[in-house]
This record gives sequence, structure tokens and C-alpha cells, in this order.
Amino acid sequence: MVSIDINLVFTIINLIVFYLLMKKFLIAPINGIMEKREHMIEQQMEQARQTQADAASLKEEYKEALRGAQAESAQMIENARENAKKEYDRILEDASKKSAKMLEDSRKTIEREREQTLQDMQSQIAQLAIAAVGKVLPGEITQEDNNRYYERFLKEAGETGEAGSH
Amino acid sequence: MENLSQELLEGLNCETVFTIPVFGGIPVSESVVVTWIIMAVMTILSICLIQNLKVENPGKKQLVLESALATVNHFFEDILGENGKQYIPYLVSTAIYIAISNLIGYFGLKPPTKDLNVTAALALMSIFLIEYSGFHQKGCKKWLKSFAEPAPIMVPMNILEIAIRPLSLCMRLFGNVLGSYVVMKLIEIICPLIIPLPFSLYFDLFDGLIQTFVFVFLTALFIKESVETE
Repeated sequence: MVSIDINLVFTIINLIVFYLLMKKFLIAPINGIMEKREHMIEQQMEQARQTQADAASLKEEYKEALRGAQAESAQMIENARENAKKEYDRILEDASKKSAKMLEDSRKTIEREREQTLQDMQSQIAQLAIAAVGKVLPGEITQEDNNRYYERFLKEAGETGEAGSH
Repeated sequence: MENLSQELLEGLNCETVFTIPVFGGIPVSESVVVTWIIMAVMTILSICLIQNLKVENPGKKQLVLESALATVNHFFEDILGENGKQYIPYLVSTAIYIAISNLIGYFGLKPPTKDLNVTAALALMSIFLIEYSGFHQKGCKKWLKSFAEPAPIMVPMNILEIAIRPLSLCMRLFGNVLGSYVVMKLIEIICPLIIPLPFSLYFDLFDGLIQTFVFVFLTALFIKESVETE
């Protein structure tokens, strides 16, 4: 009734085959899926952590850049102010120099014109004098006389002119 | 009384379903055929169940499967530890087999675990796995040395254990299934109506599952013991 026989061997074979079948068709696929999911979750966590770290470092970078930019802008404003000041000074100096020069020039021009006018007037007065002398003195006046009178007049007129100017 | 014992004997007997006509006829018993049926049904069921498993957004069916397997895996992992992990699939499949075998009486088939050949085969597989796991983990020399632990005087005991462990596993399962079968038959003879129902729930369902649990639990415990390294 209760006996051990060849069916023991059959059962062992059955058990091994059953184990292989279960492993292939039930346990391995489900475990595989669970492992895959775990892997995926781990990966996503890792990714999230990475992203967070990236964001933090980026933020730090931006902060740094902002600080740099602020410093730079302050520097730039300072520079601009300095430049403007320099430019202002320079323009002022130029203007004063130019105006001084112009004043000088105009003075010179006036001087020159005055001299010119003086000379013109002298020559005209001389001719006028000669003409007057010619009218006053009768007779023929030679070229030589003419010259002599002229010189003398000039000299005298000059002396009176000089005396008058003083 | 004569009738009752006759009936019980008939129930206990594992009939030979057919004989393979080689070497003067090899008898194939009912338990082996039922095991084949279990194998076929479970394989087909598994193939159906694992259709379109998804990593994301698993369906209800997949969630049930996963949580069940995860629970069982976790249970065995707690016992076996890191070193015995590779034996979990065998233990799971054995648990499935014994559980279905114990419960298959509900479907009108004779439980294969009522055949001593099946429980003996299960126990032999277990002791082979237990010793193999120790051998695999420790190597030949240390494995042999482990028989002399904790003291050399324990060597005969430890060697006896190789025989005792599978014997106890085998006999416990066999005895429980057989005992519950006999008790159920007796109750059915006394009162075939309604009364057997709660008893059946206890002896067939509860005891069947408890024996499944005890068998794989003990096997796992022994494996853990043999893979343990200080």
C-alpha cells in the first residue's frame, strides 16, 4: 500500500521540470519586471538629483555673474564719469585757449589794419601835401625838387605825428 | 466496519494509472499523472498571466501577481539572507506545487502529496539542495568540516541529520495529508451533509496550506543554516 517505487524518480523529474517551468514562465518575468521598475525609479531619482544639482550650480553661477555685472556696471559708470570729467576739462581748456587765441588774432589784425590805414593815410596826405605845395609854389617843379620836398615833408610830418601821438 | 476499512484502504492506495510497456512494464501512478496535470495547468496559467506585463502603469492583475511574489520573495529573503538568494525560485515553485497538491482534492483529484513517493521526492530534493547550498557556499573542505561543528563529537549526529531531516520533512507532509484525508473520510461516513464543510475547511484548506508553509519554511531554514558563514 505505502511503498517507494519508480514513481519517486518520476516525481523528482517532475519537480525539476516544474521548477524550470515556473521559473521561466512565472517567477523570472515578474521578478524581471519588478527589477526593471526598481531600476527605472532609481534612474529617475538619480536624474532628478542630477537636475537639482545642476540647477543649484547654475543658480550659483548666475548669482556670481550678477555680482560681476554689478561690479562691472559700477566700474563702467565710474569710468564714464571720469571720462566725462576729463572731456569736460579738456573742452573747457580748449575753448579758453581758442578764445584767447582768437582774441590775440583779432588784436593783431586790428593792429595790422591800423598800421595799414596809417600808412595809407600818410601816403595820401603826402600826395595831398605835394599837390598843395605844387599849387602854392609857382613855376616848374622838377622831379628832383619834388622828391626833396616830399622827403622833407614826410620827415616833418612824422615828427609832428610822433609828437601828436604822444 | 469492514466496509469502512475497505474504503479507507482504497482511498489510501495510489493506483497505477497506466504502465509504460518497456523493461517489463513501468507503472505510472496517479500522483505522477496529477502532477503532470498541475504542471500543465500552472504553465498555461502562468503564460496567460504574464502576458503584457508593463513596467509603468501595471494593471490590477499584474499588481496582485507582483505583490504576491514580492511578499514571498521577501519572506524567503529574510530567512535565507544574501547567500541563499538563488534558491528562492525553487522554494517558490515548491510552495506552489505543494499548495496546489494539497488543495487539488477540491477539484476531485487525488492529492499527489498523499503518495509517499511524492513527499519522499520533495524531501530528497530539499536535502540535496540543503547540502548543495552548503557545499556551494563553503567549498568542499569547509563543507566537510562543518559536520564537526560545534564540536567533533557532533559528527555522528550531523551525519544522521542528513537522513533525519528529509525523513521528517517527508513524513510530516505525508502524515498530515494522509491523516486529514482519513479524518475527512470518517466524518463523511458518519454524516455526509454540511458537517464536513467546516472540517474540510480546516483539514484540507488550512492544514494543506500550513503544511506547505512548514515544508518550505523548514527547507529555507536548513538552507540558511548550511550557507551560514561566521
